[in-house]
Amino acid sequence: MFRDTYKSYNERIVPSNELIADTVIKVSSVNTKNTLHINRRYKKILVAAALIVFVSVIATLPTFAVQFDPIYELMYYFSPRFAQLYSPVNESSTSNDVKMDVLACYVHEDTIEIYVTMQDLTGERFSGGVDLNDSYSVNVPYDCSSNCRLVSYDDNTKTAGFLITVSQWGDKDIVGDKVTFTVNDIITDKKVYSMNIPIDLREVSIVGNTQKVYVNSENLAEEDYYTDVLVSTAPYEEFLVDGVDLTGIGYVDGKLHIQYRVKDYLENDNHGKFYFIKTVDDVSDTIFAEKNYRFTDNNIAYFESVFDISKEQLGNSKLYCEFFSTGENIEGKWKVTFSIENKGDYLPTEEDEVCLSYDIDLSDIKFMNIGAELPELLYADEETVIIHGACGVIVYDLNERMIVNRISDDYLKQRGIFCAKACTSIDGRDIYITDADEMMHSSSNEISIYKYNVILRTLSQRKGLLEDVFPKQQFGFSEKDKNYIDENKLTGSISVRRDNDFIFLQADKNWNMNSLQIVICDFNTGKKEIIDVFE
Amino acid sequence: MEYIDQKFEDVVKEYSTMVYRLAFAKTGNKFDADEVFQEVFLRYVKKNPVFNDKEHQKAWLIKVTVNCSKKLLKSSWNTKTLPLETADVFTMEEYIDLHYELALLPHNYREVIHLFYYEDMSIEGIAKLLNRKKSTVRTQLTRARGMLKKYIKEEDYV
Repeated sequence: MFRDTYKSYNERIVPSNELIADTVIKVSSVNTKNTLHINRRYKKILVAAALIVFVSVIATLPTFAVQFDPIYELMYYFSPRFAQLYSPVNESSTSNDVKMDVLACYVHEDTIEIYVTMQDLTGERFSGGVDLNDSYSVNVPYDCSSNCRLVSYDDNTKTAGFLITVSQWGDKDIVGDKVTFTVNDIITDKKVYSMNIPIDLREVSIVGNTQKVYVNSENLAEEDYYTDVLVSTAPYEEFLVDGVDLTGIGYVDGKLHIQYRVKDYLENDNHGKFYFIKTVDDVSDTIFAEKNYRFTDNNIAYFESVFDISKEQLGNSKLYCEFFSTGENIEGKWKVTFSIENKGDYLPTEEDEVCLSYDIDLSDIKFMNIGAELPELLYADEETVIIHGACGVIVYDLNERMIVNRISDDYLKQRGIFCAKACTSIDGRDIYITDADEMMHSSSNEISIYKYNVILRTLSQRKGLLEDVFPKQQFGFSEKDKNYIDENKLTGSISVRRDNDFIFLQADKNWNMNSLQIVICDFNTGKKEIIDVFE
Repeated sequence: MEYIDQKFEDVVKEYSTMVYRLAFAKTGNKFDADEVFQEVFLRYVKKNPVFNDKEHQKAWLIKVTVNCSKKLLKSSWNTKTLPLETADVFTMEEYIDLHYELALLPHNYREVIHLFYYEDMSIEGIAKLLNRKKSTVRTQLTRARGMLKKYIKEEDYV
């Protein structure tokens, strides 16, 4: 019968997984554009969510049972080639109304990477700040180090995606054909604080009353012991961290003590640290605590940091903190056993290209310190200024008066660049980034260089010669130009000359990144146009 | 945050194979079928059509697939270039031969063959869907059968 033959012929004709994934992504983008109330910052989440939808669609389609690659979710987070190394797992486990799906894994040498989603089936407990609270494990036989990163969150389905990396110590390959992955605890509403605490440090004084308590030292070599600590005061209103109170600042025996408390400390993981940034004659120095104590009183934990900073130094300093706070704990027993295959070494020899998101997150800038040096002016023309510093690589559009591209330091760290060095092509279309450590220590002439195309927003990696892309010299100010520098500001060492003016960077002497400015200065008149980069 | 309509997920679940196979039948190669496939679902999302029932939805998708395929085939690119070989989709000689025979059919015969023999639609249904006279569809089907006489015997006419 022709009907049977024709139907059988058609059985061979199926849309590829890649085609469906690509269609789902394009559809999500169409919907994003058409939905006016959606902020651009959610685009990254949308793409991830669209891909999660793709996973659920494909997983239920027998037609596509030939090969299903859930790793396309990762495709836009890392790169297509990276994603292709993952093998589908698609095993799930539900406990305490949270469903864990192990979607894909990639085993290479001593490392196993697992992509997992956790979905709150009640729809009421998850927020963007979901964390596995270090409660995950993979049953590998040797000691190992591990890392868990939240890579996507879909508020619509209350689903968080995590990429978990576990590496065995001692270069021992992952062997065997199965592993078991478990999670025991999830924390929600995790918040990260990194900020200046606006306390008038001139009012800090010697403490009259102290208390002697039995403290746990953070130094494992030391025994616990009795020592004098601050008597807790009413919480400082200037300190705004959920679940944490700042309960004392003062000098004890010539050292500055700062105390915070965490209530119900057994039920949460709220913690953090304080530090000072001291600035004298435009030179900044960060001062960390020399000792940290912890003592408890019923269900309250007190943490006290001791600083070697004099009253005089305090006058030139600002107090900063980095804190983490968490919401609800969800305990459960999530356990999945799945097959693995060690794929050996992963060598990124081919060009590996990824398109960066249009979502430009500047939320970290407000509390960011400039660091050791003012950001470097890499390039400037009539339309574009390109900057590199602790804020990452920034592309500023002079026409639109806005930041149009950013590659943050965090993103570069994810790609293994911990100490970035950057420059641009002559036309400013491409930004080249490499790791300064690799530049210094590589025995090979060729090093890994990332090229970011400003127009296409694509980031690609290749091996290359340093001198091919990085300029041998940069330009400072002419003697005449120096007359126009504002001495009350920090000023960059590089200027770019245009037809009638020159451009340079400046910032306030409080070393706050948020104060970074682009200055366009007329050669002849000295008239300046000043643009706040992060306004 | 209504960025992906749940309906779209259902649509992909139910109709991606149908759309792709019809696009392939109409265009004769997977490269064009890929393009039509994407265009159909993008149109679906952009138009966000409201359907009375499943049949209405299926008919809309078939109609749009045929229209998108037509549009592609009429484009200057397709009129000036030859499609790439896609016989490698099929490993059995029987299917390779059938693929070449189908490729020799005029484009508007291909959808009729596909809808009749794969989607099991009646001549009346095809006529209504494609906005053609029943007699036209019957003629196209007869001529297509004649061209595929190597495969279609008289007992296959029903």
